Amino acid sequence: MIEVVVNIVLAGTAILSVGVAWFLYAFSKAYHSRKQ
Amino acid sequence: MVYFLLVRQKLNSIAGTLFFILLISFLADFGSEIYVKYVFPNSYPIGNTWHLINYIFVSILFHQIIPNRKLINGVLLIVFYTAAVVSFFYYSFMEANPVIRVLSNVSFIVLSLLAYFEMLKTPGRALNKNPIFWTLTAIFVFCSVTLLKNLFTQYLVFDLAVSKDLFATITLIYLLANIGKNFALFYSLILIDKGYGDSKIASKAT
Repeated sequence: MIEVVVNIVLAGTAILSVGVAWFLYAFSKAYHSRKQ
Repeated sequence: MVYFLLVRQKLNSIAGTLFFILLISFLADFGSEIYVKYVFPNSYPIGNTWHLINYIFVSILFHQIIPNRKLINGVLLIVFYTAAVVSFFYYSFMEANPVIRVLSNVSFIVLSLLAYFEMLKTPGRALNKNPIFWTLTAIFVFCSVTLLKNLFTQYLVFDLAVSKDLFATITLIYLLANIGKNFALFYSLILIDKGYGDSKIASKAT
């Protein structure tokens, strides 16, 4: 049970990190295209 | 850092608020170490205090970055402190209160997203030299990465009594996120000090 919860936290954090990285990439692209 | 803030920056500017956020983060980490070593082997009281104080300063920061979103910032501030007071009837101050932790993470993620969209409306300086971007990214990444850890710490540590070895990876991720956040905030301070705070949304930095 404990291992399952720990894995949920780790996997969830990994998914959130990928989401954050994707958002920052999309934001920087949108920012630079609006800037020009 | 103290030198340039006291001599070159105003304390009621974004630079001043960043300085206080970094200062309380340092005091919490350092204080936690001393408290656990010499007073009582439980770091959660210091963590709870840090969350309660940090919320005030980060709210002030968002108030300075996005002054046209005062209402949302104010509502989140009231919701947070009301929930914090109520939550301490259910969780002892010696436990990892998930209410204040998750609420502060979610509030700052929402406010960061609002500020990012505000930045998109008036693009100014290049992002790598934009102190506001680095500040927002520090807070946004830190809150997102630590969200699930904050949600499950109370359950894992106090209800399931997780072993130190199993919890070590989660703690390591938290520590790396904390160090990364503090470096990014410090980099923002350096950018402001170097005069990169003079473009549109970044113009509020100095």
